[in-house]
Amino acid sequence: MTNDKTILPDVNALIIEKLNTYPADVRELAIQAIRLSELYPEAAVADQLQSIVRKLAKQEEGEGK
Amino acid sequence: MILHKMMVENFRQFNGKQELEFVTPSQDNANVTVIFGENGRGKTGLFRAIMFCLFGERRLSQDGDVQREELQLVNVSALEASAGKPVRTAVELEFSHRGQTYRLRRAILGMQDGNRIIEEEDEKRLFVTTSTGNTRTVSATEIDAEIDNILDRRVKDYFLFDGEKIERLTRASIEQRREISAGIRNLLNVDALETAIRAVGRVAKTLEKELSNSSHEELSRLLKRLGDNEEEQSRLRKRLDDLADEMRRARKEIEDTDQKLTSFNEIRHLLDRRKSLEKDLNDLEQQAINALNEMRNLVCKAASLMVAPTVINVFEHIERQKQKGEIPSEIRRDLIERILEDDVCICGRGILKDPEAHSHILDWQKRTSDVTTQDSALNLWRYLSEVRNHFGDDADLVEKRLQQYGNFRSAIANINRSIENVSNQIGTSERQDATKLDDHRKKLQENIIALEADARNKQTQLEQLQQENIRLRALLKEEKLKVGRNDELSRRSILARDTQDALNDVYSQFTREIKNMIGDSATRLFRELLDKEGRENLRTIIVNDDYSLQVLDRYKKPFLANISAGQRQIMSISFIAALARTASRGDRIEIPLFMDTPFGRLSYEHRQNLINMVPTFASQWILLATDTEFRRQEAQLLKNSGKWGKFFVLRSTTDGNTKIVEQDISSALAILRDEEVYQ
Repeated sequence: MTNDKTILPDVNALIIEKLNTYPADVRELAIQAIRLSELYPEAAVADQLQSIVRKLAKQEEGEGK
Repeated sequence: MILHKMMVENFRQFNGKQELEFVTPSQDNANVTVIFGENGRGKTGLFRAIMFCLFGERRLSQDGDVQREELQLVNVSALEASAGKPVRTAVELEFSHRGQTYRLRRAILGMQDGNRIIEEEDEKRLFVTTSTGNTRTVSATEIDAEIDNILDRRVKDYFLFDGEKIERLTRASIEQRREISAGIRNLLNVDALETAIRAVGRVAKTLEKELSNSSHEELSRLLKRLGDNEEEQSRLRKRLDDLADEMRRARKEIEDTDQKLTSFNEIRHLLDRRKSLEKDLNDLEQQAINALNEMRNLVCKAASLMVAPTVINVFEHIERQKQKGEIPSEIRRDLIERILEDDVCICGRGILKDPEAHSHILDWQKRTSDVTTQDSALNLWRYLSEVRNHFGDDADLVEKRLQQYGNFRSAIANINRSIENVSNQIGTSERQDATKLDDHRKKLQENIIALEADARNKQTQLEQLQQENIRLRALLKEEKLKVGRNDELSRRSILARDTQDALNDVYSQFTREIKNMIGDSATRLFRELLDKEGRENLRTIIVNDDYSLQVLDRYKKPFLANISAGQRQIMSISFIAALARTASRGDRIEIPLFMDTPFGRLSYEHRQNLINMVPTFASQWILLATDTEFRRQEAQLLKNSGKWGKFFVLRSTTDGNTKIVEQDISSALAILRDEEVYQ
């Protein structure tokens, strides 16, 4: 997404770059939350995030963390 | 974006069709257009016309609580002459942006309906001509997006500097902090990030609600406390918003009351005197608050001053030992111990055979500490040496601030007495209606003071709750981990909260970066606009964590409490210009910069700097000026700069409307007032 209005050429890309220092599951959930937020309102984003959280928590269990 | 031309038709004070052509940067190096007129002639109305044409907005930020329906755009004379027929009110703008020329028109229809005036949207049209001469029409539904892409509506206010905004930013108030915070937030343009934070928070809350129904007592208790804390925070935030609204309303009412009071000619001089005293009082109170805040920041340093004698004693003790050569000792303890153990001196003699040498070495052993202790002592000596140097400075600073604060308080008490005296004279005026109005005004003033105190109190409570929230969340995380990693619900809840924290961290990083960027840019402008004396003393503008502004002196110490009213105005202008620069993504402001009566309390040198510097960092400067601040001397300065291209006068017509008259710049000097003595 190139935004002509913001002082930052692609603000969300920069946010995602900053998330690189966080654990993989946190980063994944945060990126999904931002991507969904570009398209949907808050309540719809929260609904979709519930299943992503469940999936990521299960993955963590599978990896035996 | 460069403005070329505007046309207003039956818009506010402007009856019929009237045109105004701005000077554009390509014309003979000039880029300044001056629009000159007395108060009420429609200077701000022209800026409003531009905002209406671009965004369809009729309200400006300085309208405060004025309701949308109170802001009537259609010209009253045109309406009266129309004999009940609808009147078209329109604004047309011609501007260029990145090689393309835009012609935008927006119109409404106004009708008289009994006592009401109804205004309905009529038309909006946009034509875009490319550099090759091809013209396209933008469909009505696409116009707003096209304009928004040229100038984001959220940052549009940074291109209008009205005197009130400049004044507002000089106050160390909650309103100031909110304005700065909103400005920075708008520049960040992180809507998706904010939505994401709220959505993840919502997920975390849902999961925690499920967790609190579990059988873990401590977990439930912590979740309950966290929930209460967040609820209380949101209640306080709402209350702070309400208080800010109430303060704005009260200030507006005071302005309206003052306006009514000016109709009583016999007390006009007293009203002017009171207004000027109140302005001084406000300045002094802000300076006192700043001094108080700086003293608060000095509290930790002041605490260290309490241990100063002990620190100095320890330092001097180590210093004495160092002077005597005991630290570090010339002979190391391990060497002496080896000599005693082997009973052989480094020269090869037996020690026990020489009781005097033996006792001397034992004496050495007593006085020599081990290496670690010596190193620690030396480190301590170095550290204390640094700390000791600051005691003098800090003590001076604390004492200076205390003295200053005392001076401010006593000056405030004096001004309050003078205001009371003037108010009594106004109150005992023979005009009963004037007395009533004045009583009402007094109550409003008292109300504002009470509201401000309440807001400060609520802000402190909010900050305490935020601290408590951090602590509770750490405890909660610990407890969730205790509940067990095998509990999936607990794991999901931890993941959601950790993600929310990560997003909040990233948001804070962004905010910090942009705060620094704006602070740096504001500092550069500030140093260019300040007079010689100011440049010597004042070095840096910073945006504090709480979004208040601060100025550091050449010793990097907070100095806001000491700067003059003019310097504070220069600081505000630098800050707003820095926002505009940042929004323009460069060192040059690529959007027309409107300044409405900016000279206010500025000294001659500051005015001179403003006139010389603004045309160099703004691509187009449109100066809206009144006769009281734009006089022959400023006009001469502007003329000498070679940047002044056009001059328009807003003249009052006999029917109470305004006519835009273009005048030759050389004739401007003849119609402007002579300079009075500056403060």
